[in-house]
Amino acid sequence: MVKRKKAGFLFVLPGLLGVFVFYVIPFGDVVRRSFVQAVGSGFAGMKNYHQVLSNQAFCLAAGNTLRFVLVCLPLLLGLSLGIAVLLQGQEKGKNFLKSAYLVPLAIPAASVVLLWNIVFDQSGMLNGILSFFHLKGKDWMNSGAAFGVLVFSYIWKNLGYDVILWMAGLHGISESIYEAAKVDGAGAWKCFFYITLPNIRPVAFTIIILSFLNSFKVFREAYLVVGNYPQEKIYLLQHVFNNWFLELSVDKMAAGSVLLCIVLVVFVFLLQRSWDKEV
Amino acid sequence: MRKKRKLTALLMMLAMVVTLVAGCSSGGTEKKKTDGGGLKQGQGTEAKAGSGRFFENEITLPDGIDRIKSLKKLSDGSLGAVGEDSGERVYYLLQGKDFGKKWKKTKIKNIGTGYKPCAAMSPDGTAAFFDYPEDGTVKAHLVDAKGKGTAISLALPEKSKENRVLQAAYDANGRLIVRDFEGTLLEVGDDGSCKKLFDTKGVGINYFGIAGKLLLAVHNEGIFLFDTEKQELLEEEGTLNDLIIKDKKLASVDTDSGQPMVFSEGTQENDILFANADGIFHFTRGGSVIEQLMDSTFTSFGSGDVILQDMVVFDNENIFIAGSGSEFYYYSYDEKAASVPEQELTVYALDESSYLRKAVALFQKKNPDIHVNLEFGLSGKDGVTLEDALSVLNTNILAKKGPDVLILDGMSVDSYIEKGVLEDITNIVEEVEKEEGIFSNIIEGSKKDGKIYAMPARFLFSIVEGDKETLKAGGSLENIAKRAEELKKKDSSSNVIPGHKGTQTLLRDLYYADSATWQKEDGSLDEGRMTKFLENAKRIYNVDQSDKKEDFRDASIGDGTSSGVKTGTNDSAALINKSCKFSFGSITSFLEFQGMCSTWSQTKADYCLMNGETVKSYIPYLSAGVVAKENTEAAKLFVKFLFGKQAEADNTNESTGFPVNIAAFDVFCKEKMDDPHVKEGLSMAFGDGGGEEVYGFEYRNLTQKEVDKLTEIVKSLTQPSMTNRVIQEIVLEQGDKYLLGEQELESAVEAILQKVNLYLAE
Amino acid sequence: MKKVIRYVILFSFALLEISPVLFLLAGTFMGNQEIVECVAPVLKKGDGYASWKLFPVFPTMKNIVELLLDSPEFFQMFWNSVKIAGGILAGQLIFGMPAAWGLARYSFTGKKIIYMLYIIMMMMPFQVTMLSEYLVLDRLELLDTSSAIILPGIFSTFSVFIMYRFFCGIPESILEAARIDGAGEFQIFFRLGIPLGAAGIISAMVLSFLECWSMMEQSMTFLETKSLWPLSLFLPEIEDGNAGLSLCASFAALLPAVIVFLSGQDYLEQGIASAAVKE
Repeated sequence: MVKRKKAGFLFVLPGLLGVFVFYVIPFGDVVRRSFVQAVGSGFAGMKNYHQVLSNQAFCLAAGNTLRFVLVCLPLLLGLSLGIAVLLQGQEKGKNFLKSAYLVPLAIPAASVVLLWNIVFDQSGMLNGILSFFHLKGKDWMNSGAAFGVLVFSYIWKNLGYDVILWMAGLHGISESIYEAAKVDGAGAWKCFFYITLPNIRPVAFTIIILSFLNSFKVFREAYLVVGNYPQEKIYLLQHVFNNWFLELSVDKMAAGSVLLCIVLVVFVFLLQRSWDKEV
Repeated sequence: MRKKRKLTALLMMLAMVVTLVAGCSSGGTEKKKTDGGGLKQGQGTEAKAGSGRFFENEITLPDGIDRIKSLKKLSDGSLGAVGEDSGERVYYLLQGKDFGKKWKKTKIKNIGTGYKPCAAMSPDGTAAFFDYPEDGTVKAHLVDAKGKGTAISLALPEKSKENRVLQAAYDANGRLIVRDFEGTLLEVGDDGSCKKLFDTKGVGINYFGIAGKLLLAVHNEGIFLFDTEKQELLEEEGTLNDLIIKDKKLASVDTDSGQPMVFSEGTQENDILFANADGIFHFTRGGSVIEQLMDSTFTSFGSGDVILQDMVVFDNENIFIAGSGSEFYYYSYDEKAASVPEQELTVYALDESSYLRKAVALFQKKNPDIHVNLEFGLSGKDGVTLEDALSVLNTNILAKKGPDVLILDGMSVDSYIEKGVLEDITNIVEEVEKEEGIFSNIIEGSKKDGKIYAMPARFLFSIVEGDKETLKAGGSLENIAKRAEELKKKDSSSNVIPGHKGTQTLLRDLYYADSATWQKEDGSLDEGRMTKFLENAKRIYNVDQSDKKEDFRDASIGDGTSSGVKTGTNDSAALINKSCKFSFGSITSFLEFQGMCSTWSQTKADYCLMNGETVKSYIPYLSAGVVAKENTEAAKLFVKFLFGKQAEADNTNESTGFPVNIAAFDVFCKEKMDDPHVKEGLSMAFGDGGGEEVYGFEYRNLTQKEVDKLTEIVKSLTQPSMTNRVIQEIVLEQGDKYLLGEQELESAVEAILQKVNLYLAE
Repeated sequence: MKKVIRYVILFSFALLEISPVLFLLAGTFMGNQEIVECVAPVLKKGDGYASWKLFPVFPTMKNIVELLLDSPEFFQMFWNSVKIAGGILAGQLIFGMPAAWGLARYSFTGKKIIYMLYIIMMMMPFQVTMLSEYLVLDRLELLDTSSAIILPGIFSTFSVFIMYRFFCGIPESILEAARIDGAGEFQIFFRLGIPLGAAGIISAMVLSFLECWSMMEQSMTFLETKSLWPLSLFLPEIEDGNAGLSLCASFAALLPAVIVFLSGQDYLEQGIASAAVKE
């Protein structure tokens, strides 16, 4: 047993060293910086944290980011699960459909931005379509609607991947359970709630983590379309970090990062705990 | 069997690691090679290791000669040149001894009058000149060593009637080679016959150079090599071709006054030496390495847009280069000097500035033991955005590898001060103040909590130019708008403001004149002032634009700077040809000011400070600060130099701001009141855009009264306008939409306040 | 009826997802003139709204020819991307794969902490450690070389996370049987772990590839020399005269990603279900 433990550790060690050098040590440095002044190395105590927490821009961005995650995650998870279930019953064109859903994930952000500019501009295609139905369009990226565009962008990009992941989960549920339920007279909805949902619960952990991870990446599009100072509603944490960096406010940046990290740790921890308990 | 498999797997992994490492390291060497190509040379490279380095020396042209048209090492060992007195349009054969200390001048006769676009010096002391075409023929004048010319008619291939000679040079054997308008290379015989040198297979030659018996013909994709003695095309050199491919600017030539690169033979058989904006380089035929002999940041021609005329490598240690203007450079090798100066100094600015380049060159000359690296964050050519540039700069500052001197134009000065990046330079400013004088209002305007961390070396300001009634209104934007509307009502047949002002230029002009008043005590933007600003901008814009269907948006967005020179946006010319009723905008130099005053005899106009009743603001240019570091001596020396009289007065590039240094300001005032150019007759002519009429004016000397008024206005300026680029971009972007009617006033103001205040809140 | 609704839902989503690709594809064959006409309103050069055509009226191969023959910069960037992606993937196989195996199959002290650490590091936005990472790379003298992108990429914990899930799905009994046969731990990894976890390894590689292919921030921050830039920093602009070329290039840029993605698609879903069961 001791030998096996050692072997396990040996497997992990080389990668772990790299992770330390390129991620953990830099992050340690960030933690250190969160307690000192930006330039020079005077000890600042909790001052940076105070500054960050009382910083309007940071609070706004944190709120927006949280709102974004809270809106996007359930929406994406629900939508993709629905499609996965539908797709499972589909016979014709199943493979084509799966591929089609996956394509957006492969489109580089720069190309997406090009299209968004054409579609969501004040005189872009979307407004063109709306005007066809005599609806009044708006400047999508420069009004409150920008948040919606961002949510759309996120879901558009990640839908396919989540569908695939859900389908993998669905695949693992043996047909016989459904058969048995049908014999007992359960309808489609009942089957879904009492068989499908509990059985795909384990996959959900992975899917939530991955979807959450991807929700940070939407910043790229937001940044490339409207730059450093976007409409208030889509001003995200990465904007703040980026801009702080441009102004050399490394102290605030570090403190903000540590705060974000704490939130992430708590999130992952709670998520894992609840999953460990349930299963 | 099992073991074998394991081994294979291990081997495979090993192979992968090796390829990976090899891949990485080969990437490294590749990079060095491109560096060797001299695209961007910072610190010393291997090529220059060891001791010894080229120095720039003073060299004076003989009296009356202000331009070198061609250079050659003569067969008797002296330096031969064709010189031009551009005022009198007289040409001379020059023979230099002692590396340009003594000159023998021979005036050239019998070549007709008129400007000679190009000339060539032959190694035997004779020369050739070429005329512009007249009645479909082009004349050449062959001049003997005594300066007597004989005219011949050239038999240029007649592809077009306007065909002419754009460039000419002699090879080592005295063959005369020219390039015509079509990009064809021809060898010219004594009788004027023209023989096509070689078949370029349809490729046009942009320019050529001679290195002994070798001709280098530069085209868009590379360089043809031609042996002029054996008359055969040689194999191309990949290394030289790469040079062109990597930097297309090196292949471009749009004037007949010079080229981006010049060539010369060296002392060894296969040597090719060449010079471009990056420096002087050595290449051996068949080799793969380009060795940099001299880095242009050490020298006067360290400027991005240098156009060169000719080059002679006298021997291994003496090199002469003629620029297309009056520039004439002499570089000699000092083997005792350290190959790289002991001290390094990095000066960083966001925008290209030719003024700064020249200031660095002047500084370099005075302090040869300090090597100045000049970096421009937004060089423009590789799509780097403001954000990218700042982010690179900041990481460097934090990694303690940042510049020593920061030119803070466009940056957020306050946040650098707050973070302790900048050092207090109050005592430097005071020193210069005591010795030469600095406008006290500019000093005051640069103070922050009683200390100076950054101060502009130059400044610009905005004016309104027009009749008396207009000038009465010039003091506030609102009155300017009112006046514009009145004038339009009276006569709607023509534009009220100069037609070139699109949304961006207009907004920027007004921004510079008004922005000093926008920030409230707590630093946030004043909503009322912002609303007023946009309203007035729209009113002024609408006066001329409302009846037009097509919206006019300027192509150039940025800072009104092109290739490192700021040009004023005030347009006196538009008043002469009556294409507008009054003009306004920035005035950026004494030359522009002199030009404006010179037009008044025709326009009866006068000027006043724009928006001066609201705020007397100036636009700071080249705000310099010293980055706090362990050793800031050299940086302080440089900043002091930048504020000093020498940098400000000797810098020949006039069109970039007024000096803050009073001594330098006085030098210019005196010069403009008794201007040698005016004596020679300097005039300006322009059309009215489409029409056939030609307008123009003669430059005249400034009067004492005009100088007094200028000085008075300059002394009255109190507030620097906002130069923070982030804020400016936000205002211009939203303002643009409002002016074009894509956005309502309210939402424009809201968007600006939201974004700017977000920026300020961070 | 139900079937029809299902069809409509599934196919309309698919259309929404792939329409941008069709856009780019059409643009690839359009001339500059045609593209500019379509998007003129967005460029503020015309009235009305932007529109697009799925089939060019005047199809042309000019863009493709120009891209293939006359765009050395594009190719340079393309090969940079290939180099970066190749390097990272190879490195992840060497370091990430054993690490995932070790974490999934062995229990040793600190394993849970390491696992948690990996997840946290995976979720950190780049901006958080950007500065510190820069300093580390500077210390290692890697800045402004491809290695500055490749090395941190190799130790990205994302692929470990994916492979981990798959490795978890291998039934312990198979491994036990091998141990009883006398196989060493490394033999088990090579002879059982890798083949049985192949689906996971491949899907991790596919996802990592996508990640590398669209990586932007890293290159922007760590590479100053433009000739080292990857394709993801190629920002298509339709404003200049090169509209057609731009679209063609962005289509060419997404092609490798789509191909890799679609060919590895089947593996993405395989096995994740069984992995989940164990969680």
